Amino acid sequence: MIKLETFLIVSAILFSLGIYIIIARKNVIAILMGVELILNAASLNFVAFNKYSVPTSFSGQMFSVFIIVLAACEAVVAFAIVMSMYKNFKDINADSATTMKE
Amino acid sequence: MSWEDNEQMLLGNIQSIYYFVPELLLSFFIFIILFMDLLKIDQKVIYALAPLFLLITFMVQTNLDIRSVYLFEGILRYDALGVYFKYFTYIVLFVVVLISLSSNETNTKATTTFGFLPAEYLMLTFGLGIGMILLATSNNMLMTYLAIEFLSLLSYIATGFKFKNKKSNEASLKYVIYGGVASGIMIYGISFLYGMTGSLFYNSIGSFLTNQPTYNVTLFVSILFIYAGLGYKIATIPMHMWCPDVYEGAPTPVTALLSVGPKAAGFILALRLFYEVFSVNFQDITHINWPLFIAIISVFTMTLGNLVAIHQTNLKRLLAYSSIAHAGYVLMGIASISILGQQSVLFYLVVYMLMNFGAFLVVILISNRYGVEEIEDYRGLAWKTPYLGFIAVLMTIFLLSLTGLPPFAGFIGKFYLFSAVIEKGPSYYWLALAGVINSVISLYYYARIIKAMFLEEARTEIALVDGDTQVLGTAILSVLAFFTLLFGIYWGPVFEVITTIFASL
Repeated sequence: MIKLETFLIVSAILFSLGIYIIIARKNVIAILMGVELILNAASLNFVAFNKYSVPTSFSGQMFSVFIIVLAACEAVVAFAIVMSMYKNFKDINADSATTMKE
Repeated sequence: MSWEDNEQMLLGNIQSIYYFVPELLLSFFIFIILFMDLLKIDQKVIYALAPLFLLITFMVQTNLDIRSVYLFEGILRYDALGVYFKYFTYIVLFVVVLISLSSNETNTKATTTFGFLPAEYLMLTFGLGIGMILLATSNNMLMTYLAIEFLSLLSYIATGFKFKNKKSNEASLKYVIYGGVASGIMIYGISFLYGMTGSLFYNSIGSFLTNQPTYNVTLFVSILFIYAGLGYKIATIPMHMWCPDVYEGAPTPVTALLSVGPKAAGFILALRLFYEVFSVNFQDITHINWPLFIAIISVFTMTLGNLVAIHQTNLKRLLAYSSIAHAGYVLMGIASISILGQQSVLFYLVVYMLMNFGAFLVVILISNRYGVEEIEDYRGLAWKTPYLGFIAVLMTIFLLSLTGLPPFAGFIGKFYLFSAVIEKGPSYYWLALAGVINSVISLYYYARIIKAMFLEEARTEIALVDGDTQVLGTAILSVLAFFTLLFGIYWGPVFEVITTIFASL
């Protein structure tokens, strides 16, 4: 039987990797992949907590299904914006979008 | 009153629809608008019908009685706070639709200049309204997350609505990245709260925390993470970075809406979370002393907002930093954790709506006429024509109100926020002091605009882009200025309504 801690450690690793990718990568698509990793970490947490803390209810599993759906919605909007960025800037590097500065 | 004690407060799905009719009606009007666009009905007609739709929704809402119940098996709250926030939302949407009509970026003139789509734009505005209502009346963490994402997704699209404009595009890109990260961190925090309490409902989480005897590091981390999502919606430190870029790049009516609507909804959510879940009878039950954290965030937020605003040359960007500073002021009310704190937050949101819409509407009217947004270009504005002189006078009213000088509404709003802090006793005086110092700093950059308009001479002649008389825009501007003045002198009725909201909770 796998313990709850195992799931939490995996999800913490996923979360940290997501944050690292967002900070380190410059390509917008890669940054969005980092965001997906964070969402997956939370999703995994919900399912694991549901199984170990409240086995009688389904609220955690339901939440993770909603996260998957919303991740898809967000990807649609984000990639539409990235497409129009490519049209405007001829590039999808986050550093090239600097028309506004302090 | 917890809901386990009172079964009658929990309404089933069918019963709840009666109380949800205004929101359903608003969603229905979105379909009507899209269908009218599909049938190639004149866009001017669609635009003219939009305020009417909002008026109908408002009237339907006034016919519903105010009770304290839970809708849809406890997913949504229906109480006085929620109902008054709905009125607030409809008024905000009404003003925004009228502002959009008077801006050349988002009215029917824009369809020929850059392919603007009025029906889709109205759909986004109405959708943002529904999202605001859902966020402010949510009673369940899943609903909160869905509402935040709903608001965010629509805001990303609305920000990038001038899709051939580089600035607008860049703004929406930055918004989508910050927003994705913030909401991701927020649900990671929610997942830990869920793991500890075993429930997603605010009430159950609250009653679990009441029985929690000691400090708990997991709880601390999860509240911190949840605050990341919340702080991103209301643009406080350290989640404020998207704010200036988005406000500058977005079409100005969208900026006006984003700076008032989702922000107000975020503050209502903060009131619900921190006053009903994380505290009982104005006593912190989380053992992490969150009022102190909020107070510290408040001080940093207003100081950063005000200090950076000093150097801004673009007026929209300056107003963005000023709105960050104002979020800091409102956080003072939340940090004071008292009934006066709640009331002052609500009162400030009303006042802030008036003066912020006014300031952005002036930016719109000037940018319609001359196509400029830099403070440099506002030099000598007051003396060009009598009409522009009138606009400059109204802008002065809004700016002085934003500073918090009497006899304008902003002064009363700030007065209540400060008195809520002072009421807490000497241990909170430093917070009030920081607020006062920041108000003085803010006078400097607001006065800079007034000085440019009245006391300086234009260096270069700016070409007139569109010389049309802007009757609608000027009329709304006058109404906003009138209320800004009125609430500075005679604010009693508004505050009485706010008092009744919290008396019934």
